[in-house]
Amino acid sequence: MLADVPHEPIVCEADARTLECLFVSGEIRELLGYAPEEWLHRPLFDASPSADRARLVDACRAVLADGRRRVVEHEVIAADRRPVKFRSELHVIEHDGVRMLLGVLHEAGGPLARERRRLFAEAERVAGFGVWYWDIVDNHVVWTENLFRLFGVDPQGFDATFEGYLACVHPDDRAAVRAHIGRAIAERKGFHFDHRVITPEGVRYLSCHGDVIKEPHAHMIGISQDITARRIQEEAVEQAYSLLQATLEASADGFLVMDRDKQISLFNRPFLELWKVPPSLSVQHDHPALLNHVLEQVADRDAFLALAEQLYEHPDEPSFDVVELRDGRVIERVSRPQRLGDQVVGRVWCFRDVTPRVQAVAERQWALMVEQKAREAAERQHRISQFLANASALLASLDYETALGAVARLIVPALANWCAIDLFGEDGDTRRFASTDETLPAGLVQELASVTARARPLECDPLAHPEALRRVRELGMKSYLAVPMVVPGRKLGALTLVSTAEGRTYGPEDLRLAKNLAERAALAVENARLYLATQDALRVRDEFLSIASHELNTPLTSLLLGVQTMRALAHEKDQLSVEVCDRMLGRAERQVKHLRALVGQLLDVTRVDAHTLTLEPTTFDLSALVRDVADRFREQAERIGTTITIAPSPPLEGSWDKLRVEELVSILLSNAVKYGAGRPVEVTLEPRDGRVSIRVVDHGIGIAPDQMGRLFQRFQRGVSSRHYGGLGLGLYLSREIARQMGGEVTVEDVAGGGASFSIDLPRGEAS
Amino acid sequence: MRTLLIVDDDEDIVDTVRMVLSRRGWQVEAAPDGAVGLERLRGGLHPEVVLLDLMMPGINGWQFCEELRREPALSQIPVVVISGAGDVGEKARSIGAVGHLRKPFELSELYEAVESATSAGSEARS
Repeated sequence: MLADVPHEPIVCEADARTLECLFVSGEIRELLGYAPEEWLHRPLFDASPSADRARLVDACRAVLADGRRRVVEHEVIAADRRPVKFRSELHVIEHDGVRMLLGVLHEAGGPLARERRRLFAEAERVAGFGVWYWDIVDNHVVWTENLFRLFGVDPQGFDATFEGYLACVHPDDRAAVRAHIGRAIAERKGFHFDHRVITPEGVRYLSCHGDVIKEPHAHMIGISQDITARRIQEEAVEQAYSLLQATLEASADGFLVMDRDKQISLFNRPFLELWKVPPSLSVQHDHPALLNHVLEQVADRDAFLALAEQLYEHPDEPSFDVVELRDGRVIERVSRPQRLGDQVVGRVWCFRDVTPRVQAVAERQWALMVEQKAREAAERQHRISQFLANASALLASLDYETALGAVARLIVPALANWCAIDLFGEDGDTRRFASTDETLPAGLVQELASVTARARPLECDPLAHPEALRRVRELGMKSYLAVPMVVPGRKLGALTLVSTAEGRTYGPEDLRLAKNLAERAALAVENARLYLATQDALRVRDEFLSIASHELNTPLTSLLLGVQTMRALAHEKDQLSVEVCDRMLGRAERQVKHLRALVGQLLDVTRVDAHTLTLEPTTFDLSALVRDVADRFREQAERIGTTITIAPSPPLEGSWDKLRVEELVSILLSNAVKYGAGRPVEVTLEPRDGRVSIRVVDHGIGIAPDQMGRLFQRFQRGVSSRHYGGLGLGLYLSREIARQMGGEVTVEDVAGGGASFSIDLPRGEAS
Repeated sequence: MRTLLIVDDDEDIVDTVRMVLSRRGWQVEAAPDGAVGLERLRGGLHPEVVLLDLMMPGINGWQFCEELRREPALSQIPVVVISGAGDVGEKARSIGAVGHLRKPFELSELYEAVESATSAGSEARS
């Protein structure tokens, strides 16, 4: 019988009386999922729905009653709660005298349906979903095997009701699931929701899709799909996005992402703050307006856009540039292509406000520049100090003329290409110490020397004449500087500098240096002159002391010897005759008078210095006085062959200090006889315009030209002190006395040799 | 009689020296300056001592001594320098004089200087 069965049936044998299963074939495992031993001693149709069970029982009893085969179509609920349709044949059999019921259950659809079911179950497994069915009226839930696997539930222990299903849902999702189901039933339309389940392997995410079927029997069907992997990825993406958002918002840089169509994909809050985008503009999603707002702030809008356009042409290229904004801020703009796989889908722009850094760099550069300038100034000052120190070292020499020449050479080329140090002489001459850079054109040197020599520098501007200025400029002069060399009360000279170097124009600093140098030079010259003058004065003083000592001691010697001799002779009988006494005492008298005259000169010098020289004018005949004085010198003159001639003159009455006039005439006559070399001396008197002139002319040794200027100074002698006697005070006193009387004493050379001294006095009213 | 040459431009000193030394047996010859003095010496005058004033017109005392030292025949003549300078001793030594008199000097100093010079001259000749 079974061999003729075209399909694999489930064969079962049941007790005819109790209808309990005595045997079930192994196919029950394949078709329904039960093990054969699970059916032993169970009612045969225990697994069928209640509606089928009564018919099946009736059919079995009918078969048992008349022994005829019956065929019944019914369902059996599989182990996975899946209803399976069968077409069952019921037979009565006897075995060993025992009547049994034989059932052969053929699955509706047969092996094809099984194959389909197998394929469906495989599809479920591969796609990760399971099918469910819920009889809303009977509250009976049927799941496919894969659904049990998705829920991680053992089918045997499953409560096949809605509550049983709900109990498998994650506790935190049950309320939401219930709400979704309730709403679907109420609205009688499809639904979708996601929920979690807790499986032995962990939490699983399921996506539930279903629909409500009203007819013929209210039920709900649907699938639940495992979306755990997708949800994990979604959560990962969400987390990554959240991290990206947080990172972008936490960054101090402004980010802007734009796609290939120049549309904004994303920007962060710092971007809005950096570009001062008002809230109204940022929420409007008006991207052109937002971009225009950015462009309005850029100083060079065209350059800003040009780079962006260039990068759209070259989407793979990164970029970096610095943008200056109109409000003074400076922004670094960096961009990188946004890639999705190998494809560039947009560009990420990063904006960073580097204004503080730029300012700090600028400030640092400024500080460095200031420091550099300070260092250069210090080095320049050091060079100047060193230069001045070197110049001062040169100027320390008493040989100031050599020193000035050395200083001029020091100045070139350190300060100038041409330098002249001029010393003004009292006679109007100028001594020049010049130095020239060897690269200077010879023509310029000559022109400069000529131009600046025509007038003393600083007394008038040698370059004031346009022609002179044009010439020296043509020859290469670029800058000119002249400063005076002054000491208190006097201008000693001038320091002149000329530069021919391009760009080397004298300025305030050069002027200060030149003034400093000129001051040092002037001081050095003045000190040297004063020192030399002091040395000269000391020498003259020493010489005077030596002469004075000689002049005073000589008559004293004769006096002392004479007195001692007279005393000695007085003790010898008849040795001290009247003749001897007269001669010796006469000599003594002469020496005393000579001493008196010398002492008188010394005292007069003291009075002149103290301005205590007094005059006592009286009226007398000047001609007569001159003759008297001349008479006193005749004897001395004749001894050396000199004749004194007085030109005839009428009486010259006037008011003068007689002793002083006598002294004046005596001094001149004494000199004329002393230095007359034995030649004649002429004296003339000449009244003129209320004044009177007394001239004494000799034809002797004359006066050397270099002595002329010093002749009337104290302690000066027009001749060697080793050759002629006298204190060297006569002419000095004569001039001082004459000036105090309102007159003057002058000297002239005499042609052919000799000197002519003149006393010029006011006539004075005769009283 | 011993001979002494005084070279000095001061007539009073010359007269006085002549007067006092002649009383001591000296023959006193005089020259008013160095040139005349040299002329007298070259002319055969052989004084035992020369009294020499340093400050004279014409050839002064220094120049006189320089000329004297150049002539071997005259270089041995002892010279006594007369001067009013404070460093007359130093000056005297510098020109090779055997003695000096600082003005104003006394008769006793004159006598002593002349006698010392004479002795020095005798020793030099011997």
